[in-house]
Amino acid sequence: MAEVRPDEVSSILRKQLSGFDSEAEVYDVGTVLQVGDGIARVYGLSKVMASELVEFPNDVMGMVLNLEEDSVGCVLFGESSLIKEGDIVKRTKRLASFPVGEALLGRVVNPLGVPVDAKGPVNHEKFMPIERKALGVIARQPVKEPLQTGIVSVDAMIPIGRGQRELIIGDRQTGKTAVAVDAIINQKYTHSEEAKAVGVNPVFCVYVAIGQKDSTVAQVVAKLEQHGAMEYTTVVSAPASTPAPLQYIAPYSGATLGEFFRDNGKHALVVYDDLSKQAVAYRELALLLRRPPGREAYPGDVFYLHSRLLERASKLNDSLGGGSLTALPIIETQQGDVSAYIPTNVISITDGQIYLEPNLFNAGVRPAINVGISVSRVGGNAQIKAMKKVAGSLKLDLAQFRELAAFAKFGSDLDKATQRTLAKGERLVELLKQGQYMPVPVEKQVISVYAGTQGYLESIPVKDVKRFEKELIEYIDVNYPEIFKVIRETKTLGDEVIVTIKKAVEEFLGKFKK
Amino acid sequence: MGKLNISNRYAKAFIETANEKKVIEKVTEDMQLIQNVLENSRELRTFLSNPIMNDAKKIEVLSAIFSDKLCDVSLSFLKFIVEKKRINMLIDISRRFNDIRDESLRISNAEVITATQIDDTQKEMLKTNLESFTKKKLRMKFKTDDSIIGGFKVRILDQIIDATLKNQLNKLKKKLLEESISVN
Repeated sequence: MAEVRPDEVSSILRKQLSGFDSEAEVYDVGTVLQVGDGIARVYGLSKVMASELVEFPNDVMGMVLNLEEDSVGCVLFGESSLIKEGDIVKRTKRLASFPVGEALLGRVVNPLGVPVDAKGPVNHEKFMPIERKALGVIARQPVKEPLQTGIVSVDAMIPIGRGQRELIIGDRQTGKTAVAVDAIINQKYTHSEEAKAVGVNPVFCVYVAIGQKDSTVAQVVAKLEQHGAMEYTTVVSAPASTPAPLQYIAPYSGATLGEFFRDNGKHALVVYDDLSKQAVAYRELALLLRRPPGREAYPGDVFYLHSRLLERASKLNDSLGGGSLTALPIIETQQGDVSAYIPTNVISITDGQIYLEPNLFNAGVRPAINVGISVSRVGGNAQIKAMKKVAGSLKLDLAQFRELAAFAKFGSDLDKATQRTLAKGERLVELLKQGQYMPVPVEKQVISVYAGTQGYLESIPVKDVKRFEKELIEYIDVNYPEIFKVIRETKTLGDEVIVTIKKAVEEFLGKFKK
Repeated sequence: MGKLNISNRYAKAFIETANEKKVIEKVTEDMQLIQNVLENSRELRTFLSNPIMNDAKKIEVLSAIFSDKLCDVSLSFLKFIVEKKRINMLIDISRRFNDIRDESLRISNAEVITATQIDDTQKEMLKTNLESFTKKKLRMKFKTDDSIIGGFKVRILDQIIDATLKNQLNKLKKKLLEESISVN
């Protein structure tokens, strides 16, 4: 029988007890006056700070939101049924904060940084407060690097730059999350050696899920894992089952993590999915705290709620490391009503929007982006030159097509020119269709868009356009790989390359018909 | 208007008047007496806040209780708040009055909880130590509670100095639990 020596036991115990100090503890306290609906009113806590974390009994944490003359209003991050009147509340002297560090990549955490993926504790570097003032003018520089989403219609016509805030807006079931998830998956390329060689810096991603079903979040995580995207992604999850206060702080937690990368000279992409649910959670809190309701019963500072969050997206100037934080907020509209309170607010804050429409979605145009009313206000400067060159006429062609398509519905005789515009438009729409989780690298996008805008598709039947595109790219990959290489490396489209592309496309056109 | 607001205004105004008339020390004693009486007598509290009793009756009762104990300024203040229909808030006003006075004189109440009775020299030592720690004069109040096992716990306003054995054991428990999580 194995023996355990007593001194061995005591040495282990001593090791466990080392670092334990038995000094007197000094802390500030208050007493719970009233509790209910996730809100507690506390008497005392006289030196407490706004948005400080406070500790209730039974390991329930809370955050101070209202500082009033005779009481303090706290929101609870746990069950309010565990707390009763007269309970002692302790100050933590720590503002609500979020753990940051590279160790969070690949993890699913709640808005307080507690892991919820059963992969053990997170070895974070430090805590940073979740509410931070956005940077001023001096710390910033204009957006100039592209953030490739891998979605042709976005990268060609609504380009997004690193440091931009681009809203994704649309009704339910129009593929808003799909656009964002595709954008995250497409950042895998930026982490490769190849990207490093051509000067593309890696983009770290944060996906903030607010008020969604747990199953939906699990699905997104599974998809990201399947495509190898969890390696550089953190998911901050505040599903519908969590109390409103956690849903309210979730986007700020995500932004804090993004800022950590940005401040270290790296690049980050944060997706807020979605901010309408966050506004609803905030409305719940504000009403329970008896703040006066305004339009649609939202409190008066709901604009500030989103503006202070989205202002944190930025491109730092080179003396601060040149890092960036790109924000992709998502807003769900009801029956396409973009003039509701929250959509108009967020539209006015962001640098453009990607508008998704159920009609297009049902007509099979996926991603269902309405390129007519989608805009990007700063991304144009960030687009690579090659793409800018070929995509210039794309938006115009599609606009003309839409205008004529409305007329053509009357079915009258159409002249040749009109028929040609319609035919081209139909083919371009077909060309911009793209499957989910299938991001396209930018050099391949350039070729597709070139073929479309230069009229090479005219002789191809609409149903064959996608097949043509796919085979064309395969053909060039095999026979003219230098084209892709040149676009990747120089990011421009010189005359020589155009000649080669032209030659390649015409060659393939001959073969495709056979 | 909130309770705190009202009592604040009356208390401050009364302190100013007492200061002008140079009777602040006596008035402070009076207000402490009033607070004690009201806190210990539920009947008086309900009587004063009862709207059926008319003002004359309330003044009569108040002067019967306090006339030979309070100075003239305090008595006329009581009459004044009866006339202003705020006599139901007398307890809040007196509390607020004493709080404001304590604040300006840098006096605080300290509540000490120990597991067993401690003797007077220990009490005195604790008091001098705490006073030098808080840099305030302290009005000590001692209590015993054996649930804290050992050590002591002091509450001064919102601050707690916790040197109890119970708290240390709790902290130890938390620490050991944390370690066991990180081992797994």
